[in-house]
Amino acid sequence: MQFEQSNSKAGLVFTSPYVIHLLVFFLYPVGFSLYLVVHRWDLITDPQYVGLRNFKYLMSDHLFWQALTNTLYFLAIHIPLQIIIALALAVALAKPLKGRVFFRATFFLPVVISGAAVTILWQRLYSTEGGLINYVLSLAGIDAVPWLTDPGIAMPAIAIMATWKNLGLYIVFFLAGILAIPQPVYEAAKMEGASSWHEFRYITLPLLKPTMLLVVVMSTLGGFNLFIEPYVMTGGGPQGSTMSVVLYMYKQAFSFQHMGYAATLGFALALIIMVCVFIQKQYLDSERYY
Amino acid sequence: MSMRRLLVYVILIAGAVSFIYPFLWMGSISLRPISEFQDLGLFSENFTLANYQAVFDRIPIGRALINSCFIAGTVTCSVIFFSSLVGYSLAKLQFKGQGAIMAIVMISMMIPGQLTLIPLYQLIVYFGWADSYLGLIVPSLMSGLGILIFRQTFMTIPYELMEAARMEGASEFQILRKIFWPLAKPAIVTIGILTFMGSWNEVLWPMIVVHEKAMMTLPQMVVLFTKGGESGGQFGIEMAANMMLVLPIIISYCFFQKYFVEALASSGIKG
Amino acid sequence: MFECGSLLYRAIMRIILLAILLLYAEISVGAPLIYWCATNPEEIELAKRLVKEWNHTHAETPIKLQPVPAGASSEEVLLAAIVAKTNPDIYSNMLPAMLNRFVKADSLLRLEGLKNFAKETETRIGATILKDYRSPDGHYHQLPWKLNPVMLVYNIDLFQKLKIKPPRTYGEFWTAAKKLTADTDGDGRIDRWAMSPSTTVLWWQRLYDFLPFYMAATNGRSLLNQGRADFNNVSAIAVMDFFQRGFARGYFPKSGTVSNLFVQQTVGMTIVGPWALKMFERSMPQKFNFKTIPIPVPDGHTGPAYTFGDPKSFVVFKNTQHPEAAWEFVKFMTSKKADKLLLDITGQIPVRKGLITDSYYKEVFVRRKDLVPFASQVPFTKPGDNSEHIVEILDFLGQQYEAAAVYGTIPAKKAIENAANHVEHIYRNW
Repeated sequence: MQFEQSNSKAGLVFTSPYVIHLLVFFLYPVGFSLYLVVHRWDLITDPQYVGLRNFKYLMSDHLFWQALTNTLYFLAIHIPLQIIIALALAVALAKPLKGRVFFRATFFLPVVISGAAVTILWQRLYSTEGGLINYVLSLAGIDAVPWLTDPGIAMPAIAIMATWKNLGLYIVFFLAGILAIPQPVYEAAKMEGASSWHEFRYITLPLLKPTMLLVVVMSTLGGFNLFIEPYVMTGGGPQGSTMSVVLYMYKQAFSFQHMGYAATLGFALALIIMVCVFIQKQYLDSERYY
Repeated sequence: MSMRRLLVYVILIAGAVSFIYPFLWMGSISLRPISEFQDLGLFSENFTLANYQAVFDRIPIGRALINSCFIAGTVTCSVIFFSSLVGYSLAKLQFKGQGAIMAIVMISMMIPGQLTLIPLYQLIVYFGWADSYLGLIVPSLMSGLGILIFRQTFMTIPYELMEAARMEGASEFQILRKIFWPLAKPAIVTIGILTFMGSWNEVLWPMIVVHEKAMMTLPQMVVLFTKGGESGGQFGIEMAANMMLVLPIIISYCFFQKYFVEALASSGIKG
Repeated sequence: MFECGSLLYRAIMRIILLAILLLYAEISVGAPLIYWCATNPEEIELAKRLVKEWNHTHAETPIKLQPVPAGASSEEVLLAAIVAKTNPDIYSNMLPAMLNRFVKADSLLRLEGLKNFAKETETRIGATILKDYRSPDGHYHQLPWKLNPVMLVYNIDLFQKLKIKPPRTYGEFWTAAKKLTADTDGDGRIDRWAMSPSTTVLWWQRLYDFLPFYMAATNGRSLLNQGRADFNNVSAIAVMDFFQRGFARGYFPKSGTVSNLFVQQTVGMTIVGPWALKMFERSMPQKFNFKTIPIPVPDGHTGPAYTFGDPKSFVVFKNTQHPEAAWEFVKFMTSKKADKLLLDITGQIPVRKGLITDSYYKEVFVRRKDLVPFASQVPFTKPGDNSEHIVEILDFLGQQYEAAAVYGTIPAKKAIENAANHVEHIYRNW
């Protein structure tokens, strides 16, 4: 048929720029990264084949394992905190209120701001001299907290900041999820005398499961990408407590010029992310809320 | 009832304050002399533009602003254009390798960027694109997310419209341009905002590719300014530089708040 | 409906076209010689003045000045730039300790073949000192420019008020530290300390705390010796222990702070090079007097107190299109007159023989007596190790310093052992 022919030609023409771009800027880099995994390369001299040495080094590199643990620690604080606060504010916003649009817009503001700007701002908010947060705490009679210089507090501090930055997005997700729940379901529950808590626990929460999955997966991806926050605020310290995998990779690549090892780190991280997201999907798909 | 309502309002207002006050404070600090940097209120009788003057004197931040606009603008237009082409092909056309392309779009979105970071840098070096717009723009000319959004939108558009146009002898490109684009305006806005913001806010890639000041993007320059020695560790000056990074986005957000929220919310379909 | 679609289409196409045009325009622009200087305000001022003068008289080979576009470390940026071939023609902030990396990458111009190299260096530096700056391959790739001997600066007014003697040894240092560390406003919290050494792990910070103290304690020994750690010894442990004690006893504050505590008189001493003096004057909220003395040494130490000289050199990159002009510019930047400006504007000490006795510079030293101790320290400085792994070694040493000294989680001996083992590990693996 004539249509089919022009159809197929157009399809090839329309997709070819994308395919070419993909070959050069995606498939080739992925391939080269696999090549680098078994090489030693300082960017300047020629790459040298080293077999599995980069992987062996990775296994015994406690700095990498520390960075990975740090990231998991970050997620362990960030995800629950995010879900609880975002859910609470979304439930509040779901009520017919005056100024709903204003509140939503306000909560959403940090989402559109660049992570770099937020980080630079929060570094000052956390400051022990003239920092806003410590000032507010001092009004409540609490001693200044060394947010970014105490190895036990620095990572939670970064997690709090990240939560503040992304909260608005997840509020919008939850809000959309809640508003999509049909009203008759709630009315039926009311007839049976369910309290608001029961309503929330047995209707809202189970029906929000897909949204929950989305939020968890997106925060996980964001968490594994943590870079600019520790880069600007702490440089990975104190005591390596905020060293993220990406920052460690950046350091290996561009401070020490261990390109092969950095590629190995990137490869390992990509693998870990895919496994994590897969597990989360499995777990949240099968878990029963009711 | 009213007690609970009050509580809800208190929580919401507390939330709103905690989201807005830091920005206002930053703006206020950037307008005040150094001696007041420990002041936590918003107002002062000594408001001055000296900090902004200092930023302009020390770094070519105007140039960085133009760079960022140019880069983000080009990337956004390209992503809209090419993604709609591919999205249209995947949604409405049949051709060999269609399934393979769809699969590869999905795969390219699942592979984390860290894996390709270092080879990509090597590639840019190989092309001689370091310290140039090309190095900053070309790798992000296409977007898998854009393709998916366009594909989804185009699938909802009925075939009848296409058939009618084809009868009149319109080419596929004319159909896309004259029928699909106008109908997909929300998708275009969404992809436009997502791509523009993503490009505007990117720091890691410019930091790797660009070392020449005249080529730096705004966020990169502000980060290096505050973290490197040039701000002299002075609070007000750093906040002034940061304000210049934040203001363009805040202003456009004030006008197009609804679109921003919708665009970012729809980025969730990626999951 | 159709209208709107084609309007959007036209707009997008136009922008893409414009982008392509701009990209081509960008590639075809030729550039003058590019010179990268350090990022501190004084050095930028100096460079601006000299470059302006140069461009006035050398219209055919103008220089474009740019401070190193560095966030954390200029060496990092420079290496990346070399790989990408976007390096400048001339760079003045080269740490001799890092030079070997660049020599190995074959990116630096050999200077000895250039016009009047021997004559120029003989009058300015002298053959003996120049030898210290020769690369392992026997060639000269750098022109030593300036030194910033790292020394101890103390607040005289505060010391007199508290009747403290300036410390020469660790013992005297602790006596002083005890008196300095206090709660001055009576709110139950310590608000004045002895000194505030850096608490961050940035690799180059160790050049300004651990290394100068180690050099002082060992008559100028360096960290490495032919690819092996040369610091697994009592002196290094004593130095690490010194910092550990300071933090553990609360003489050094642990929380990193935004502002410089020394200028706010919140600490009585600080470890700096002469470049910092101007910065002190500029940012002092209240004027006070300060004085410079050598780095303290362990009790019972004999001989002079050496220190890290923090040298910086001029280098010219091999891929420059104007090697002769670049060399002329380097000579211009290190001329007698330029050296005087360097001393005057930045307070940094030019690498020039007989500087302190030369009548030409006397006027500066008379006006700026605070520079005299630094200039007198110059013979007792060392340039540090020239190793391609120096960044990684100092980075790891920094982590050990943080663990042992700042947080006290491991003993000083263990920290030094770990760092020494890691040096072996680095040389074995990379």
